[in-house]
Amino acid sequence: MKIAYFSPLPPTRSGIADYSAGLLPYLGRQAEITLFVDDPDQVAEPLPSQFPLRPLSEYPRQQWQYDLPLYQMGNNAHHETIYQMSLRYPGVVVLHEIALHQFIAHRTIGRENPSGYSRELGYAEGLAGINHYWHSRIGQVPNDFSERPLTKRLLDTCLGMIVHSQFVRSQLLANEIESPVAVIPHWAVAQSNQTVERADLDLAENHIIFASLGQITPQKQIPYILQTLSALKKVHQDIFFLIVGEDVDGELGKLIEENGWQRWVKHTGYIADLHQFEKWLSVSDVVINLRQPTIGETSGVALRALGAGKPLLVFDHGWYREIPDEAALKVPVMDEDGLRTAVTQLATSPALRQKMGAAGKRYIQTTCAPKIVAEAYQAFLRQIMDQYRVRYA
Amino acid sequence: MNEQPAAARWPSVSILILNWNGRGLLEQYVPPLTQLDYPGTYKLVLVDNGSTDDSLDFVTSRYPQIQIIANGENLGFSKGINRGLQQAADEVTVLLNTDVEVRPDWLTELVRPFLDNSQIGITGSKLYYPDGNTLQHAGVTIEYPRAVAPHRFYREKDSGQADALCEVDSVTGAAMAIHQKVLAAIGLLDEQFSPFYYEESDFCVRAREAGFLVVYQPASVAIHHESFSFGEQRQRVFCNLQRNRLLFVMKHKGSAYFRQSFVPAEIEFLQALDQAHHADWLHTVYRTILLYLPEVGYDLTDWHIYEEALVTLMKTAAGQRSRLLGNVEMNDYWLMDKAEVKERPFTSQTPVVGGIIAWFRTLWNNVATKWYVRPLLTQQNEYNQLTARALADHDGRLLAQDHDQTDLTRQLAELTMQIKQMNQRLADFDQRLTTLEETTNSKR
Repeated sequence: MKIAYFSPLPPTRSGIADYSAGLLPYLGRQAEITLFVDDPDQVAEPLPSQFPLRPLSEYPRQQWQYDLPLYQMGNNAHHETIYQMSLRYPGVVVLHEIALHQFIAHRTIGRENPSGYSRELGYAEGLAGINHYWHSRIGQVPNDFSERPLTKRLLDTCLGMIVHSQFVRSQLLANEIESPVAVIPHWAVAQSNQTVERADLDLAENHIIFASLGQITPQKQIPYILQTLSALKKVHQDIFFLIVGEDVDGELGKLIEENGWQRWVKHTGYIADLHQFEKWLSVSDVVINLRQPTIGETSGVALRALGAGKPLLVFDHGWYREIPDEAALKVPVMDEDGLRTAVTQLATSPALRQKMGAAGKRYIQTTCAPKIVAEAYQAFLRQIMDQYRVRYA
Repeated sequence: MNEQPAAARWPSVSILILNWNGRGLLEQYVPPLTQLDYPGTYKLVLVDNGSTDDSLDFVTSRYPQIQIIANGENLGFSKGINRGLQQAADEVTVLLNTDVEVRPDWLTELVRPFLDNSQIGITGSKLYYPDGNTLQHAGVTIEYPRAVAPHRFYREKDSGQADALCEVDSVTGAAMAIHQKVLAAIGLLDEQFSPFYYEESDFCVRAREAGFLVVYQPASVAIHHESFSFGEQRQRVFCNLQRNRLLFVMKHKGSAYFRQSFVPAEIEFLQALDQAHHADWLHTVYRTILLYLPEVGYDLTDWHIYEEALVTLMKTAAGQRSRLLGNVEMNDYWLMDKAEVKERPFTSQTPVVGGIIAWFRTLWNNVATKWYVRPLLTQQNEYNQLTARALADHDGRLLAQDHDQTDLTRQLAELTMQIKQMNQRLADFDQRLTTLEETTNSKR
């Protein structure tokens, strides 16, 4: 099988670039892959040594050499030429984000092309979409377009689509996609546990460390977690809350100080170094990974936590529902009682934490390992190709 | 008149009245409930769904004998009632709406069937509209495969057609008696049907599956004032009803029936719709259920069958909506509003004589513009309307072309795939021929 592969690649700073860098070595064992990028000279090693690299502009002339193009698609400007190519030369699209609104808005309104934006709305919603947009431009209705996914054109064009969760698949079916949709988990690796001395990170041995990792945005519901844990501290004094990541709004420090929570809350700030990030992960007993609202996005932090054998505490919605129950405690969305109960369960039972951590690691090894993900890719690509096999009487 | 069994045989009854901001209704329809001629013992229980009017104060002060279960928030019908059912300890529990006006013998007759036949588990009353003669409820027949659940003889004048006590598929929860053994056997109302519709039908079906009879009792009569008004909630009510109808079928009939029987009947129904907004609302309902399949409470073993079926229904509803919508969208085109150049009335802020000044200005304007400006205005408006319509038409055509282009691009891609496959096969054949030739030559 010969695949033309389109994706941002390192050193481009993008989660999808990292995703491809991790997947390609395994996918390369399943198929012959050629990488098509904007500028082949810019791609960081080791990929240039492992795969042929071609400029995107050459694909139209070379398309007959490949069985199928495969496009990695995300919601940002790194995918500009990839998007155009996927519409001109339909293939299989890996849709990493359920909505492309930001991307579409950037390439239309962002370039002073409101007509282009209204045309995209029109494609998705008909004349009603165009009317609504122009009515908002003349102030008759509110501008509430940011929640429109604007993926309809891509859904209609592609020959097949890969997504990371059943939740997203259901959304695509609800948007009336005609092509086959495969659910292939985001790859992740099970890690051997680092031995890290808590004292080196200024943490006490007896603490039960609940950690929230990754960039701190309002969706992560950190204040809500803090309020719940502070109530529990009266009963479970060993609880400690570790917050690892950049505070986008800059309000967290003030919140902690005003409430006098410094003794049991530690905020590390932004951690640039992955090795250091993994150290903080390894000293955590439980990872709290709440997201509200969610649009079904897969959480890289949650996958890392599972791979590191850490029990997860999540809201019961979106992609999180699909994590095995043995590996994650799922709380009804914004249910304080539920969160309290879950935290208490985890704080008081080392056996439960251990069991859940092992289950999480097992899930990563058996379902999300790059080798398994690559095999799933291969099977789906083969399925798409077989659809067009000409059968002779 | 029926012979009355001895008082000791009559079961104890709790009448649960679900209330939400129904102070006025309570004032009107609680008094008859305190004067029932029931031979056994009964009590009234107000289950309050977070009322913000003074319902609770009213009941507490005027009827202290009424037990109150305060839910604290509006939980809807099934969740609200379940809070009351959980605490029900009497032999029979009656569900009653706040807008039902009962007769003195209503309860006696509603309970009587339980004494006559121990297999009866649920009974329902005859309900009239306020005129006292038009039937609002005489039992419910569930019509498959679409599981529409109309009230029997709905809106007919009562001329004796609903006077027979009989078994029915379901009864309305507006006035419904449940024997305790039913609750013990099948549990409470299914809260997935929250906030309302189909919870009683689901409950009755489960009761019948457990071996109990559900019976319509025409001798138990009340007036249903139907205080709930649809108004602005029309879409929400419609969508709720349809959503629960589908969930009801999925729960009780399963995926094979859904695909083979329900979907064809539903498609036939959709294709006969004559209101675009109903097609649109149904499209929303199918889409909502598709998105929330994971949240359906019971075991969905044939997920992909339901997915496929719901996608089919969505497409049919969308197609019907487009057919019915026609040029409605064109009339709503954003430029139409601005297309008309309108005259502005003359005004004057001068005190006292301002009205006269404005009148004079209007008169002068009418004369001055009649033969020149007004015709120009008319001409401009005609031009604007034509231009707006032309642009609307142009936009519509562009959209259609956009979709056509996508279709063509996709077809081209599919053809390309086929050609690639054929090329591969030709290459394989070539290879085999070459191998065959070599083998033949080597044998020579």
